[in-house]
Amino acid sequence: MRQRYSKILVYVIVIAAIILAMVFTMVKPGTI
Amino acid sequence: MITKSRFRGALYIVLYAILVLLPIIILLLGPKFRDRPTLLDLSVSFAFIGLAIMALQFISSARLKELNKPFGIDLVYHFHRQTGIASFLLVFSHPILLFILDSRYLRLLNIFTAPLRAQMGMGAILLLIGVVWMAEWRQKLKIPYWFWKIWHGILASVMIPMALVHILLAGNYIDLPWKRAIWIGYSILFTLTLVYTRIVYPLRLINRPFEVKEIKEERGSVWTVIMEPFMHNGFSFLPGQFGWLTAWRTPFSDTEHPFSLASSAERKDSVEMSIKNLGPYTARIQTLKPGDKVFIDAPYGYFSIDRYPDAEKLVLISGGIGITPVISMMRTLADRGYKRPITLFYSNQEWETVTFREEIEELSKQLNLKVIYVIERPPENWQGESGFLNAAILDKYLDKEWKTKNSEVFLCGPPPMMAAVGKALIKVGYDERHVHSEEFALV
Repeated sequence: MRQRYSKILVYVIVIAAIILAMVFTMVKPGTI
Repeated sequence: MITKSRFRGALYIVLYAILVLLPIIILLLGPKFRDRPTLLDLSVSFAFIGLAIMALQFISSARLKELNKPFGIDLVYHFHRQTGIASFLLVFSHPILLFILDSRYLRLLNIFTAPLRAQMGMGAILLLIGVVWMAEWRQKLKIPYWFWKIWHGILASVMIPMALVHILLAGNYIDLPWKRAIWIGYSILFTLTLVYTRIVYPLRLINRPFEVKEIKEERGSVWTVIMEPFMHNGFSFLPGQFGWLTAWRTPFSDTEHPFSLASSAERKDSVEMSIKNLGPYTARIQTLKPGDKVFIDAPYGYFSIDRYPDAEKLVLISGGIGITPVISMMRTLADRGYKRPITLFYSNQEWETVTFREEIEELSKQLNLKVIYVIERPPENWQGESGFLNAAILDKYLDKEWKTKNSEVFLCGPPPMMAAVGKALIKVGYDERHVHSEEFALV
């Protein structure tokens, strides 16, 4: 069960990173 | 204590997430610059995240005791492995997206004509492929553990500076000094971790050697090494934890192997490791002699009965050499005069190779302990359980009273056995929150 939590955490971090990367491609630097 | 540990664990996770996401956050800040193609932005973003994860890999593998405490080192290594794969995919997508964007980027593959920044980037990716390939295929390729461990460290340690130089030379997305400072910060973090793990920590271990007192042969090609701290006070541990043993060399050699601490946690004067002959290193253990100096980096691990002091009943399940943390638990409980009920399921291939068989019989007289041996190939006239440990056997010996929330299960054995028995325990009615396990095939 602990390993499942670790896997979920990796997915959450990678998905958050990908979403932020997408935001970066859409919202150009300096607009925030 | 558990609440404090959880809080600390949550804090480490938040810090980790911030450090991984920071390179993207800084991309979003600062003044506007000319528009770049979306694929280029995406490609660079993925590479930045991948590299941030890679730089942090040195921290997750550094065996920092405080960092490992809330999670257990087995979980941290599991996380290290998964994040390693994630960072590989992210970094590898960087050149792929560039090639899709513009085929002229393919020219950079020619290392003789490519500029230094591309050479560095390509070199880092090639090293990354080597690191992941060796880590994922080590067992299939039969790469010796010590060889893999040394090269995993060397390749990764060269790869990160190359990737950082690539970023600093390419420079497009870190045009402001404070943006560059963040990547220099990652470089400093990486270097400090490397200095700590390769120089400071081995130096600390070298000043705390252990002396081999006795080597004992046990059933099942297992050798017990009894060691005493030499000119220091040793260490305390929880029953079920493990340590990294370095023999014949100094801790600088990075040739250590993880083994359970098999002795009683109540006896501070000596420590035992019982090691099964499973390969070239473990086969050599029996050649250790009394008086030899060895080094133990311990304690590590989350797998311990002491984390559940309120447990009213204990179920201990071992497969083969997975008995070593469990024998430590039973020896410790016997020394403490523990009287609560314990059931031990102990699976082995053959009756004659059941390690610690005689001692377990003795312990069952001192403790309120019921032992169920499950023998894969039982001898003639065998009256006990045979085959593999399964739900039917568990159900036969663990009635309703054993499946309460105050009953904790500790499971240690080869990974296939742990997976099968873990499922069987759920099937017979155990809540997985009360089933605790640790793989001894840690790396």
